[in-house]
Amino acid sequence: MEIQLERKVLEANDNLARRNREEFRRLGLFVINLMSSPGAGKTTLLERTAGMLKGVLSLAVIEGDIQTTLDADRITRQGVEAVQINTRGACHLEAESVWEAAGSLDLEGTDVLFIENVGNLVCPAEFDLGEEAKVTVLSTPEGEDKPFKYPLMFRLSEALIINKIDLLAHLPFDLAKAREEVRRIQPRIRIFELAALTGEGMEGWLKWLKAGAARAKAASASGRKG
Amino acid sequence: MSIAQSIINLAVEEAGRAGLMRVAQVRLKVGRMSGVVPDSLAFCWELMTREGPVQGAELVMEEIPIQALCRDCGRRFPVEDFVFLCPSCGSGRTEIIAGRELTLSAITGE
Repeated sequence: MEIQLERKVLEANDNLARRNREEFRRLGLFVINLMSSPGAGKTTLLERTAGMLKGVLSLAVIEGDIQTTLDADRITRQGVEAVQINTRGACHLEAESVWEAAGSLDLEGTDVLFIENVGNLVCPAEFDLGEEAKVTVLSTPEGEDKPFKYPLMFRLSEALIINKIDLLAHLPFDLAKAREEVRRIQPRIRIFELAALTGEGMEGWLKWLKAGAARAKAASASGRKG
Repeated sequence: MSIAQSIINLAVEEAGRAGLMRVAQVRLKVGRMSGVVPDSLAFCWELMTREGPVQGAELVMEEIPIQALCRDCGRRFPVEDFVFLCPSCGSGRTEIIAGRELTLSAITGE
């Protein structure tokens, strides 16, 4: 006997992500799902961002990267509330564990919540976490062909950070080609070229974050009135 | 792994609803832009169906090519090499209308 069906394999996660999104919107949070390969510099980017936005925006971080166990400590040292998810070896985060982690943070008064995904360019793209925007970090030592090899993550991203531009002089990385490649896959993507370690080129990224946070606040306020 | 587990969970649920005692085959639609790598999924599936409720069930994957719709001129076009620019008007305001599927489309059993 054959039974015809039409069921999304990830429907359970999608439903939980929807619940997360509703709650994050109610709180007026700008939530970012930050993705990259291992070692592209997600944690360094968060440290630098936190340092430069101190007193401007209130940040919180859900740390899911399994590459290092010290990531949450690095963030906390910047005076930002952070919680580490134990992914138990999984290659990506799912909406359920994000919900649990968010519950252990005090998010009242928080402007931007970063979810640092597991370092992996494949699986994290498939799982909606309830974020407002996906942001992918590509570091110059990885080469500019990454978008073509892992198109889904780049297609779904609102913004791309090309990190470690301080190394460009020493690498065969072609910045113009990288931009062109990624814009073929996602023509509307915002691209920020920076070096999180030195702080070079951070302004555009910080401005984008402030605008996103302002939008999230405004939407939440009008939602409450309506 | 968690994808294979999700498929197994759905197959078990649907088999129970239909009163099947045994699942022989599971059919899946896999979009080329679903993020799922068919070879990896086949490998996980083989490992995870050696025992348990869908022991020995075959996984058949139907790959779905990517199609996009241009928001500006309304053209529908197949996406080759992940180029999402409209071939008619060059617009970047395009939307994926097929190729993101990861859908359980049928189970066979007795």
